[in-house]
Amino acid sequence: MGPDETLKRQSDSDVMLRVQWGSESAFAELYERYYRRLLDFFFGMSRNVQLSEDLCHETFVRIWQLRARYSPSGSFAAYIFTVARHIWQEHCRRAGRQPKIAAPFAEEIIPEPASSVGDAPDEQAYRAEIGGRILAAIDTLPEEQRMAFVLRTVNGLSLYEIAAVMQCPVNTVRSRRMLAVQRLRELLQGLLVL
Amino acid sequence: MECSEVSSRLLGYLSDDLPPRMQRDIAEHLRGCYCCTEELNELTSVVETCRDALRFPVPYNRFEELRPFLRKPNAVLPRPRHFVRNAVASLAAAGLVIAFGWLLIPAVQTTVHLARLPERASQPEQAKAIGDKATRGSSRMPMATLLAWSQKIGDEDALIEDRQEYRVSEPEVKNLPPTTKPVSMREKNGHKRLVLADATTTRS
Repeated sequence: MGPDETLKRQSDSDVMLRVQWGSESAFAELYERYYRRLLDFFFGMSRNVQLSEDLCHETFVRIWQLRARYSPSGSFAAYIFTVARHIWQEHCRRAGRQPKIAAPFAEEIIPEPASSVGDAPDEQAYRAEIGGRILAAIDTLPEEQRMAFVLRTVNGLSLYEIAAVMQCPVNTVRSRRMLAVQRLRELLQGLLVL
Repeated sequence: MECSEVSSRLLGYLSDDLPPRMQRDIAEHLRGCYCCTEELNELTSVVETCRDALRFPVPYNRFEELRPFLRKPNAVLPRPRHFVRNAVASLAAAGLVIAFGWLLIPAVQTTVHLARLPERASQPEQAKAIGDKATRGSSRMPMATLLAWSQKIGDEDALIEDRQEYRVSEPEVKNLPPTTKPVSMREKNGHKRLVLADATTTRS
């Protein structure tokens, strides 16, 4: 069994402990496990492809810088998303981000997913319109509700992990997520086949 | 379960966040309730559609872009110096040391002093010397020292009063030298004691 195969069998915390010792291969394994989830998180919060990649990169840089301070307690997913949340908050402070007003279509250009390649042009246009309106609806959510929704629905974190990331009680996470879904349901009432 | 109870919990049911028993109860209710089933389908459609829309479009591994940074000599941030926390901890430790020393020093002094006390007086002459020293009007020994002395010679009843007299128990009376003169008799802890005026009486 090679060293890479050994790493793949280890838990996230064990891999992170190896990262603490300075193992680049362990850090590469950690990157492989979490980079998609972090991209989803930042895209869910920003709806901007380039920004999501930059923030994901910055998150891993920060994890490498702070590896000496890591102590294996609690969920590693909660740890890594806590770092991501801090990165997101720093970005918002730098950008002086203000809550956006709902727009009929999203302003960012969203690349077509691979599954839609080969579809008829009108089908692709329909998908783009739907996608834009969904993102615009999500953009109307308050930041806390959006984060709770993204972390639970897109990233698959448990309510307890989300509570650790957002530093709030579990019931608060539950209510934020419920409010987000109710709001999205109202906004997308006529759009989706409900 | 009623529809009003189920409706408020459908999102948790959808995400499998509820306790197992409640999950089963809601599933049982849904089997027989068309309205709640339709509502669950709506929620499912909203959640799944938004989830698909929020996925990052084309993720690819960019770890090689990180490698140059990993090899920089200052790529690790040291542990932060929490000045205030360290200062408070240092002050607390200093306070503990001072308090411990304040309690310990008198005990050390007493121990040292007791160690310097003369050995148990086995000879009457030695006891007499001790007693004479104790009754010397000009150099009164401190009470703590005298109490310690009385314990050393094994006579816990021998207490020094202001009149610098010895108290001995009744059986000792017969062994008293003729120069001793009883002043009073007292009873303590069931034992009678004679308070004598002569300080030379000690247990031999």
